[in-house]
Order: sequence, then structure tokens, then C-alpha cells
Amino acid sequence: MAEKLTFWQSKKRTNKIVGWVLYVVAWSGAIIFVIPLIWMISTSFKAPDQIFTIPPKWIPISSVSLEYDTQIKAKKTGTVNITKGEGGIKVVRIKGAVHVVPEVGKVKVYKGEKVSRGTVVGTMPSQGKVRIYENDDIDSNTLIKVLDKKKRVIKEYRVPSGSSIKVKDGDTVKVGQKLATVLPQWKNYVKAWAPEALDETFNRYLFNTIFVTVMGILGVILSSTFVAYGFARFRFPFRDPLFLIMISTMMIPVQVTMIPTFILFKYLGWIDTFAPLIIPTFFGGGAFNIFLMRQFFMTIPYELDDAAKIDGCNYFQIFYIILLPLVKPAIATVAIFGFVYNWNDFLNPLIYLNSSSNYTLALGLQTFTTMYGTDYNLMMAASTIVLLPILIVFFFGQRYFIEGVATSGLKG
Amino acid sequence: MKKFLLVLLAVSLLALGGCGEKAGGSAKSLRFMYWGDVAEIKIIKAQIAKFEKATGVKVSAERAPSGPPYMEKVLTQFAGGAAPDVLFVEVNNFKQFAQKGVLENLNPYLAKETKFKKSDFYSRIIDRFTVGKNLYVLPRDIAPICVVYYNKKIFDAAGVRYPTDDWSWNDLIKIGKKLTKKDEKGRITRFGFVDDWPIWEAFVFSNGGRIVDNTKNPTRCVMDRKAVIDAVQYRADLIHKHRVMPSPSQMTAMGGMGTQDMFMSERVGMFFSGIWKTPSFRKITNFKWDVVMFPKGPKGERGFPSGGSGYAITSKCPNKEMAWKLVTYLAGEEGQKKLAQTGLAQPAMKNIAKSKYFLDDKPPKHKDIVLDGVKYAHFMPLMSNWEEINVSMLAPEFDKIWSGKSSAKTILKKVVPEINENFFE
Amino acid sequence: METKPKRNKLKMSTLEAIWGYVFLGPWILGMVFFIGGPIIASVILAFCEWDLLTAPKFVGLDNFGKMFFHDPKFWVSLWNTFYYTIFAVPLGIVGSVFVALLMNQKWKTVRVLRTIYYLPSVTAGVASAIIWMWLFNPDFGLINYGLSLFGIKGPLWLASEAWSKPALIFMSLWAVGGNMIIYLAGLQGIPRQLYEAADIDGAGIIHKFRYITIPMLTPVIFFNLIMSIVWSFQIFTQVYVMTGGQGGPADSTLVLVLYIYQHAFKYHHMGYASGLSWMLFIVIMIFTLLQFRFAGGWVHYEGELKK
Repeated sequence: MAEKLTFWQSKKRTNKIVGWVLYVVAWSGAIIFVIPLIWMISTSFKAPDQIFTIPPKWIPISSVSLEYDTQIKAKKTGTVNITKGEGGIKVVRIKGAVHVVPEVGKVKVYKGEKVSRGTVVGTMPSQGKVRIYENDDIDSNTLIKVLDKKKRVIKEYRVPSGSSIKVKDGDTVKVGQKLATVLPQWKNYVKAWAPEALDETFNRYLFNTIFVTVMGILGVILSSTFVAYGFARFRFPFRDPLFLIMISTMMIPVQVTMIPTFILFKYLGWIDTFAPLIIPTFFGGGAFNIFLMRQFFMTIPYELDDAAKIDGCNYFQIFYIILLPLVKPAIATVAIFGFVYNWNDFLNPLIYLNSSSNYTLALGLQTFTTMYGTDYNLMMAASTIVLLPILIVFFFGQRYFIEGVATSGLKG
Repeated sequence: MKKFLLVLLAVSLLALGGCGEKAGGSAKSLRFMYWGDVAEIKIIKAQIAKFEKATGVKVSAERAPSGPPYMEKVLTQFAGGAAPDVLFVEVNNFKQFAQKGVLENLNPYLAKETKFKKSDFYSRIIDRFTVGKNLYVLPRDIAPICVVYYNKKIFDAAGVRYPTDDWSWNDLIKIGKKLTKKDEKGRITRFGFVDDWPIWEAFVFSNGGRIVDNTKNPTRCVMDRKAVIDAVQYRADLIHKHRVMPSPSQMTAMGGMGTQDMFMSERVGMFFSGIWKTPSFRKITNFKWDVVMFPKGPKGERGFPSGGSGYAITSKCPNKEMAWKLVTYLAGEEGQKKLAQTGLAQPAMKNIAKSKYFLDDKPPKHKDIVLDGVKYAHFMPLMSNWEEINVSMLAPEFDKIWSGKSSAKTILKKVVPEINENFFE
Repeated sequence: METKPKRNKLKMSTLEAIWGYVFLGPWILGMVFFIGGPIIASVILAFCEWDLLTAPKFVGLDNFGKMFFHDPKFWVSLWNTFYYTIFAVPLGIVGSVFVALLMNQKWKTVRVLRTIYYLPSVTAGVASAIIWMWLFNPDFGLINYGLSLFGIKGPLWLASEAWSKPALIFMSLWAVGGNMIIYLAGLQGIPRQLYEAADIDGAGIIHKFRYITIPMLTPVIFFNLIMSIVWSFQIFTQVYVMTGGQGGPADSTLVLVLYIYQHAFKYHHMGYASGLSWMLFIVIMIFTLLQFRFAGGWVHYEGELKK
């Protein structure tokens, strides 16, 4: 007895260690996986000039500062006093735009304007949110950088006039002034949702997409389970060849059946309606789903069917009373695939929908991105908007198809 | 057997496509398909509203994504007999429709038109949209790709004088070198010059080279001549010998399609493209910029490819008179004036291009160069196969030149005979 | 007396056959109305020249003759597609099974983890292409930066003829989450009693994995294998967006469906495109048939109904 206990204990420990290792692995992988998405979200908040900075920027906040060219070079280790107003003259008007004027020349100044000389570091976004600082006395907004011999920034301070800071041999002290903080641009999302010049906003697209998606999921679940049941639980002539034919319909690239299918739908008068997107899903729902459901049906022992038949069930009842509940995870999988497919489908709406009031999100996104050309920040914002519902549905819906579906006890 | 299959196909396609509604419109409505960016959409909507008010005819304006999806959709609709009434085309996708008989000849309508006449437009763009004797597209704008945008701040900092219109290729190299900056690791952080996409045609045309023997009726590809080889090699040298232009790997590096971003984020001093970048660049605040014409070739010649767009009426449209009227609203004087003000495009009507609507005081200051540029505008060969030649034969081979793996001479001498053999024999 | 049971049996199986067809009904109707016509049309088109704007022209076997004897790009694209599939499919399956197993644990944060692994597979193609182009930046992208921490100088990735396909394969692994959820569903279907019984018998984790988990998962793995191959052979969107429809550099990423697309919509050879598609179909079909042939050897169904 004692031996068996020890055996169990050590096994528990190994299990625990293995468990921990797997946990670390899972999270490491997740972090790697999520990095591209983080870049996407971060970019969606950026002002245009921050998008492709080198090295890449992760936090969509940057500052625009004016660095005073005059510098104080430390001759030896010790302290340096910061005083204001060293250097020449350059007009800086701060009202959403910074004007930098040539070194030599005349410049008009207005009463009360402060002047300072320096180099602008950082970029004011041409549109978007900034917080602008107005005064240029040396105070807590003053940026003081200490650079080492190789001109690398060692430390940055913000201290008022009259303070002292420590420096080493050969360090350089640059005094500057923060002009503005470029904040995360929430405006990108507003712009993505309601692009100017368009008749509709993403509201309309959202509605359309939800409609198509819900109907699509319904069609797919109903018909694929129905048909898969036929393939899985019945014997009839040509069953296997028919199954093969079904699968083979997936092997033809859509580019080539697209146009004949378009012609077909035109003949039916379904162009510029949602019919081509929805109705076919009720007729089998696609080889992928039928195949998947069939595989799952086949994992259930046939004895259940037999038992039900003996109890007097007909085929329908076996289908929806016995089998369907047992394949709930599969059904949920079909549902989510259907959801994602319809949600992201771009090609079918492109061809079949003409009026932009009928557009779905994916198509709206695509049209939108070509309207704004290379405004990648807006594109990322729009992509995030389209991605968000999927994220929410998946995160909260997980329990319905992944966690704990009671499986039946058959033997013993 | 053959006959049977043909009949079967014909029957199935006809049965599917032949009956049912004709192309979109009826007497009371028109279908108009187009692409555009924000500024263009605003103008189009305004003009359509005016048209609807004036005629009582409803217009279903279908905005499609630009680029390849546009052609996919249009071709699908044509194939399915569901083409729109009025179609927005530009010089490059025009060639796919040009000789197929699917567009309506506009000459009769233009002749009867009172508000403007053919000679109001730049003859080059009219010519481009004409096949044989028929004009198929009423031009809205012409876009000679001759515009070199430059960043004044970078020039100032490098102590270089701004280029003037009579600068040459050598000047380009010299200036480009002065503007190129490296970091401590030797990586280039700022380039001197970049083109929006490999605009090798500009180099070829500026060197007196030609692509085919006759643009309208090409019978031979002539890109293996010395003028062309030298020009293509010159562009490759800008990348690898003089290092003033990024290579394709450095290009995909900069975020993929980012030549425009490079200019806007000051990672390149000069940017070569067409005038349509103006609205985007007007949003730049951290530096001043202006434009100069693409430099003269070594022989003092000038030449560049050109873009342009306009409106066409499809041949199956049931109400062509009304469609023509819509086209006049879109491409007529008023539409062109509004377009000019956005700076996006150079109006195809000469008067408006020369007027203050286009030549206003908004940047770029020297935008009048495009008026001059029209003189030297060339177009791509007018053949529906050109796309195939370009994508399947030229582009992959040119990749090897731009990546420095091979020389222009080797590649062109190899690929031009192949092109001639496969497409022109 | 002996004929009676015989007659009953006949009746049963005919009844079953009829019901089988009934359940198949929606699909059969769908085939007839929605799918059959276009498929037949595309077969016929393979023997035609069609530029989409004028009427199709019958050309017999010309397309196929050209394809096999005069079109090196056909073979190039076939090779590119093979290359991609050979690597992406096994890696993808192993990856998604592994991730599914991890995601089946009962950690508190597992919901977050699952979402993270799943999201990439549903991110809009355009956005994900741009993100990856940035990641593959030879000088400043994260991937080469990460490699540099180990002292490795990363290749040019998308700008390199040799590394463009590996870059695509790499990118496809980011989307393992898509298949992960299928495997998760499959894992749910394994009766807990089996594991409990094994525990009582003293089986270790590896043992349970080899003799319970995997066998019970084989129907799903089989499904996934076939689907993955079918999809990999048809890869299009990512390549299209990342290479601008070009298949570059120098045709190194010209996969078959991209080539088909070029012929259909850019070169006005819809007939040729159809021909190419049917070639692709045959290739995929061969692979699929082979898998079905050998399926009996390793796939285990609890409830299979053989004829």
C-alpha cells in the first residue's frame, strides 16, 4: 500500500511540473502571437507620421519638442547650472503648427510672443490630437538632455531654472522645450466609422453584415447537419462517390466559377440583393461544413442509433434527439466558422452588391482603404473595428462550444 | 462534338445571361460605376445631384474599390450582361476595353454638344482615348507623370539649391548623393530620390527610347535598343551604383507600399510621381515642399508616361442620350473646375488647366510644370495584351534588374525577343 | 417461411436508402441549382478562349497544349504551390494540435489565451498583410531584430527569391488558431471515462496521449489534413496582397491560383484560367483520393457505417 502511495505522489509532482512548463510555453507562444496584433492596434491610434518610424513605435504617444542648439559642454565632472535664454533668435509660433524660419533673415514678431532658437525634434501630426504647451520659460516643461561623448542621450530632466544637475567628463547638456504631446488619435476610429463624403457609415454596413451573418449561420447549421447525417448514418447506393463529389466541389478555385455563378444569379434577378449570399447556405452549407459534421457524427457509436430505433424512434428523432446534442462542439465550430466567413467575406459582396447601402463591413473596409490610400493608421483602425465583434463573440462564446459538453456514458 | 459543346455553352450562357434585364438602367434611371478618393467622391455626388435635379433621372452611383477589385467587378458585370451605363476608366484599364466593342463611340454626341467641343481638351488625351476614328472616353483629367516633389527643408539642411526645370540626369545623381544620409551602422536612413513605383518608362522616354514601334498599332516591342537599355540601367544604377534610391528590398522594408510615406516622414528628399499626390501632401506641416519637372535625359530630351481618366458609356446602355448628359455633368466644365481646386488632377480641358482654378496659390507653387509636361507625354501601348506582357514577362524580369542581380542589357536582350515571339509574331 | 425475413431485410435497406437520399436532399438540390451549372460552364470554358467582354470562342485542346508544352510559368506556379503545401500543412497540423492540447487545460487564463491564438486567423487579410510586411522588414522589422539578438543576420524575406516562400509559410503558422478550434471541439468529444479508466490503470500522460487522445482525434485530423491540403493548394489572398498581385520577386511566390487569377482578370484568358483550374482540381483530387485510400490504416471511427 505504501508503495502505491509514493508512486502516486511522485506522479502528481511530475504532472505538476509538466503542467507548469506547458503553461509557460503557452504564454510565451501567446505573447509572440499577439505582437503583430498589438502593432496593429497601436498603429490605429497613431498620427500618420508615427506609423513607420524606425525603430517601430509601440505606444502611440510621442512628443514634439524644440531643442535649443546652444549647448553647455561639461569640462569636468561636477554640476551645471541651468539658466534660461542662451542663444540666438528664432520665432516659434505655437498654434497647431510650428514655423521654423531660416537662420539669417528678418522675421515679424508680435507683442507678447516669446522667441527661442532651436531645432524641432518630432513631428506635429497634420491632423489629430495634440496637447500644446504655451510658455517657454524654463520650467517643468523644459526638456534637459544630457548626452555622453558619443552623443547618446543618457538622461533627461525636467527641472526649473536655477536647479543643478550632475554631469560627467565630456557630457553635453542640451536645453530644450516640449512643444506638444501627440496623444493617441481616437479620431482615427471616428473617421474610420464615418468616413467623410460617404452616404452611409459603418452602422449601415454593420447592420447588413449582421443580417447576412446570422442568416448564413442559420442556413449552414441547419443544412450541413442534416446532410451530414445522411452521409454518416445511412447506407445507400453511390454514397461514397457522392461524398467524394461533394468534397471535390471545394477543389475548384472560386475565380473560375465566379463568373458563371454571377450569370446564374443575374438570371434569377438576385443581383444587388443578399440572396446570393444567404440562400445557398440553406442547401448544404458548403462541403467544409458537411464534411466536418460527418466526421463528428462518425465518432458516435452506432449502438446509440440502434438503441433508439428499438425504442421506436424514427430517423428524424434519432437525428435531433440523440445525435445533435452529442455534436454540440462541432455545431458551435461550424457556427463560428460560418460567422467568420460571412463577416470577413469580401469577394461575394464585391460582385453581387452594387448599391453601397447594401455593402457589408468587409467590402466597406476595402472600399474605404482604397479611398484613403495610404493612411495606414485609418486602415488599422477600420480593421480593428471589423475584428472587434469577432473577438467579443469568441471570447464570451467559448464556453458554448469548448468547455465541458457532457458526453454520454455508453459502456459501463 | 465540337459543335455540340459550343451549342451547349452558348445555350447555357445565353440562357443565363441573355434574358433578364439589360444593362442596368431604364428610361428613368442610370447606373454609374466609379472609384475615387474622398475629394473625388464629394465632387461626383455634387454633380450627380445637379444632374438629377435638372433631368429628373435617377442615378445609381456605385462606388467600387479602386485597383484590381474594380476590374474584377466590371469584367464580371460585362461577362454577365450586367454592365453599368456609365463607367469611369483611366488610360491603363481603358486598353482592356478599347478594342472589344463594349464602349460607345462618343464622337456623334460630342459633335452635337453645345457646352464644349473636342478642341477644348488636350489633344493627347483625346488621342489616347480614341481607337481608329472613334473616341470612347470623355477625358476628365490628364496626368503626365513628370512631377518630382522635393523637400525644401532637407535641401536647405544639406546646403543644396533647389532643382530647376532644366536639370539633367547627372544633376539628379549629384543632388541625390548630397541628400542621402547614413546612420552609424551604415544603414541609409534617408534617400535622395525615389519614384512612386518603378517608373522606368520615364527614364526610357526621356532618353529617346520607345517601348513599341507604334503605340496605337504596335507590331513589335523595341525595348532592346540602346536608348532603352541605357535608360533602364540608369535607374538600376541609381539604386546600386550611386545608392541614392532604395532597392526593392529596402522598399518592402519601408512598410510595403510606403514610397509616399517615405516622403512624408522625410526619409527621402525627392519623390517622383504625378500631380495626384497634391491633396495628401498639402496636409504636411513639418516641411515645405515644391515640385520640379523630371530631369532631361542625357540628350536633352524629355518624355514621360502619362495617366488620365474619364467617363465612358457602355454600348448596351438603353438610354445613351441621358447617359451622355450625365457624362457632361461629370466631365464638363463645372466638374473639372471643382476637380482642379482639389489639386488632385490636371483638368483635361486646357482652359481650366490654365486658369486660376488649377493654378491657384496653394502648394505646390510650380504646379504649372504639368501644363508643360503634356507636351512630352507618352502613353503605354494600346493593346489588350499589354497587361499580360507587363505582368507576366516584364515585371519579373525587371525585378532582377532592380535587385541588382542582372544588368539591363542582359535582361532586355533576353526578354524582348520572347515578347515579340509570343505576342507579336 | 424463409422468404419472409429476406423480404423484410430488403425493405429495411431500401427504406434506409430512401431516407439517406432524403437527408441528402438539400445538398442535391443545391448542386443542381447553384453549383452544377457553373461547374459545367467552367469545364466547357476550359476548352474556349474568353476575354469576358466578347463572346467565347471554342478552341478545343489548345489551352491544354499550351499549358503543358509552352508555359513554363505553369510548372513554376505548380512548384511554388507544392513547396508551400509540403511545409505549411504538416507544420500547421502539428502546430494546431499542439496548441489545441495546450488550450484544453484548465488554467484560469485559458480563455484569454485561446482568444489570442484564435484572433490572427480572423484578422482581415489586408491588415494582416501590411503587419507582416512590416515584421519582415529586413533592416528594422521585428523578426530580423529578434534573430539579431542571437547573432543571426536575417534574410531579405519578402524581397528575396529564396526566402519569400518561407516567409509565407511562416505567416501561415500565425493562423493555427483557426484549426485549433476544430481540434478543441474534437477533444471535447472524447469521453472522459476513457481517461478516468486509464488513470485508474496507472497510465501516464504520454500513454494517455498516445492511446486515447490521438486515436480519438484521428477523424478530425483526417478532416483537417484533407482540408489543409485543399486550402493550401488554393492559397491566394495573402500572396496577392503582399506581392501586389505580382507573385514576386521574380515569380517566386507565383502560386497556381494567383496565376489563374492573372489569366482570368488581367490577361483576358478566362478559358485558359479554367483549364488551369481543372488541372489544379485533378492534382488536389489525386492527393485526396490517396488519403481516402489509406485512411483505413490510421483513422479510427467509433461509429463508422461501412457498406
